[in-house]
Amino acid sequence: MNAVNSFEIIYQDRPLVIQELSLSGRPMFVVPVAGKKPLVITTATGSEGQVFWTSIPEGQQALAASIGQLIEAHFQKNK
Amino acid sequence: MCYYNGVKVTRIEYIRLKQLEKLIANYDFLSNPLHVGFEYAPHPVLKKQAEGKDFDLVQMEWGFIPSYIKDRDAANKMRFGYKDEQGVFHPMITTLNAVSEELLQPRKIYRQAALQRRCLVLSTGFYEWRHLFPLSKKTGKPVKTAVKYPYHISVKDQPYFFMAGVWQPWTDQSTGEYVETFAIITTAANTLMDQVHNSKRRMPTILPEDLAFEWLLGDLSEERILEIARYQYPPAQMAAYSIAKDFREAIDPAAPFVYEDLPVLQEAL
Repeated sequence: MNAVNSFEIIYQDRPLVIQELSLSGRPMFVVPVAGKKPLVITTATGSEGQVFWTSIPEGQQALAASIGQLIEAHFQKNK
Repeated sequence: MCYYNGVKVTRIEYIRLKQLEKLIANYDFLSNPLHVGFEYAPHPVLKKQAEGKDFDLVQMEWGFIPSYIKDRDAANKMRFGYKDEQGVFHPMITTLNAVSEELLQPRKIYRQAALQRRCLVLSTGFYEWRHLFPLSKKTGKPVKTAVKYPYHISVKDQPYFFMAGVWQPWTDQSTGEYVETFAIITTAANTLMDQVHNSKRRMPTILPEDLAFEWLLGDLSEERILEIARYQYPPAQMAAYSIAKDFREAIDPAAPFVYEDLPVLQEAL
């Protein structure tokens, strides 16, 4: 697991430092969660070919989707 | 079809995501670039769930331990051979591979497993040795001892592929240790593997996705089990290249290595 980048996003009016990792050739994003293990999210491909954000492991789909959108916005802004 | 986090995904994507879970948990899973059979190490395997409709990605020990083996000591004797009290050497019995053609023969150790406990072994690639007998400079005749070249073999455009397997639950009767062990099914070599693994002319039974999940989840007749077990993956969809002879110690065991004296493989059709 190699750290390649870290950046900041604003989530619910608070800054969050996101760490980007490359794991098994796939970009993963580590989101700090106060008092808990960090949340790891990535994009996956659905059966219809649609790309969606997901937590790894399962169980935090809504959070993964909302933070994933902010990560996408960060990369769009910094293109 | 599988669901991950409530979203419908393909089986392949599901497996990738499950693999990432294991990596994140610092669980040594597919991160190992090379699995050497005689190390009898854990390996990622797809196993049918008890209800029979879905599967789990689990780790199993490569090297089928039959139920009649009572404990680790006996398992090690089977795997590595041993000298008995009279000094008689008993050679090893290798259970890494199960020959497809013999799988269901009566009293074969794999029979019940093939009927009831089929699995899929996940692989990113495997290696085999090509044996060549070049002409001796002294005599002008082929040398008697083969010169061996290792090859890495994989399936084109597929980061992971499936090999047919059978598995066995096993409990050490001395310690209570429980493990699940497996053997990989082998079939006759296709035209590519016939050139690479030219000493034994065998290859693992690699299955395309439809046959793989029929093997894993299907309610199969004996005839169909043997049919799938003997399947030969199309050689044109496989890739093989030579690797360094010390690849087992290399950081990247699958790195290509070119030998000047090694004839190229004929194009497999």
